[in-house]
Amino acid sequence: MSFLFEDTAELHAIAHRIRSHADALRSRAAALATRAETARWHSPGATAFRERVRHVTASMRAAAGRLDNAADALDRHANQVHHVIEDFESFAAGVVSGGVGIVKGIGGAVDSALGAVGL
Amino acid sequence: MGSPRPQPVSVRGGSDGTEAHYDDMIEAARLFGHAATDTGGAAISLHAYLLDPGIYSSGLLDPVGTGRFEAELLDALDGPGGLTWLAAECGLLDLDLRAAAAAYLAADRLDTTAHGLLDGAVGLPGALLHGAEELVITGSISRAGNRVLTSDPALLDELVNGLAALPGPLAVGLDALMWDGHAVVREQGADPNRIATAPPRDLAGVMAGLALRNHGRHGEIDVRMLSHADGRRSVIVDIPGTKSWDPRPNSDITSLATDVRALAGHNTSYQQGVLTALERAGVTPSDDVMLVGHSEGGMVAVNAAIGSSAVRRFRVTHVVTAGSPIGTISGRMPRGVRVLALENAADLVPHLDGTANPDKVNVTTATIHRNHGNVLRNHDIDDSYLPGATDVDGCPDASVKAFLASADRFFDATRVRTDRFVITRGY
Repeated sequence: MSFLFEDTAELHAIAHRIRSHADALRSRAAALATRAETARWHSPGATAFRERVRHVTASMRAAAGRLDNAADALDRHANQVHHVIEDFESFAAGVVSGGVGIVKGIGGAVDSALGAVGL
Repeated sequence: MGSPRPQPVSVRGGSDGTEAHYDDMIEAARLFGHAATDTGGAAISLHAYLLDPGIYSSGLLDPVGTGRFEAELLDALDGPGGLTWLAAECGLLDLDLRAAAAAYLAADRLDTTAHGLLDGAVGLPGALLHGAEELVITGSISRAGNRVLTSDPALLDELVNGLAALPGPLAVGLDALMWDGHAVVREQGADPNRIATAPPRDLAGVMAGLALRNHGRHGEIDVRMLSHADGRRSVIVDIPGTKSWDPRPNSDITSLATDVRALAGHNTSYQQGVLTALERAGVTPSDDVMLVGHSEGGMVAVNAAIGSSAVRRFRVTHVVTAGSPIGTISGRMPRGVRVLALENAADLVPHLDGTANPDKVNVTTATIHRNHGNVLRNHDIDDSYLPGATDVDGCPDASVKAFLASADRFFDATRVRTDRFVITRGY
């Protein structure tokens, strides 16, 4: 959570949804391949059809793999954003605490000076 | 044409043929249609992430990471083989399958109504010419008619299809008139004949056993128990055809009542007698069974295979028919049973049902060419189907080879015992 970016958890959630699409695509490919192989249709045309289905279901599995890659890339990006935000926040915290110290130091110095002159 | 020399064999159906079940095709098409819709929907919703404001704003902190993610997602969606292409391809497969199913349906309707008509008409001019030639040479009308029929047996398909147009009740009445009684099975002991004691090594060996039994008494069948080196058993059953054309109720199980009922796919006493003989011979549901029948015996074999598969009484795995009209009834054969139908191109009898054998994976029709110019010889086992089986053994067709390969367990027995049975009809 950050004041610069709403929520990296939302990026991880999107990655999860993309993986769900990939899983659904793999299940779909398996179901189509089984249906095509078991359909009672045998002829040279059926052989060509099954070859085409094999190509399509292989492409489905490959596309599912590419969706997984995209989800992985988004997860890595979310982690990177998280690190950047953490770095920035710790830097900002350092700046603030440093500023407070300086102010305190200046206050102490002023107090000392005033004490020295008898005020 | 009656030469013992090998003759060509033409093949229809079987593992290399065409089979199409429209319901299966439409069901598969529906699945591809759903896949197209769902994949297209997924592609649209995933495209939205490419424009997601949250992801864009996070890009300010990690522009390289955002770029990598968007490149990967874009590739999965719109690259080669991506979701957009897949949705379109699934939609095309849906359409193509529906179109193919519709085409097969139309072709089958055409095939059923026109197959016999076309086949018969194609050979008609030549057949008439042969008949006229015979009439001029011999002056015999019966010999001329014989010549016409043996030249173009498919003419019979047209005749039978014409008769099929007769009112239904007439056909039902004919069937009812054919009192079939019940089967009476008598054991006749083992056959010591050389053919009966020699394990078959090929289809010709199988057909030789059928020919031997065909020379026996009316209603005589046999059960060949094959023993294999590994202890397995398999069984071949030989079922000869019609020996009596008597239409009246009589004790000959092969007489006309069986023909009429078997042709319509009805249960027959002959079929029940065959199954009883299997039981008496000690055949169990774990033995692979091949039913082999000539003419009427082929119809009985097909109906027995369908009937026993339905109740799992015996494991019939193969049926071989020779000169049998099984075009109508073999369409109901379960997928687990393979049928090889031998049909002599010059034999009238396979045309008696007016229907060509179905083009199914498990039904292979091997048409042999043995024309003796004589109706009876063209249908005879010894004259036509025994040499025809040798032709089929040497046939290079993939469907025939696949059938014979699937039946190889019946060809490698080390011993055989052949038990004979006589089936009669009781009332």
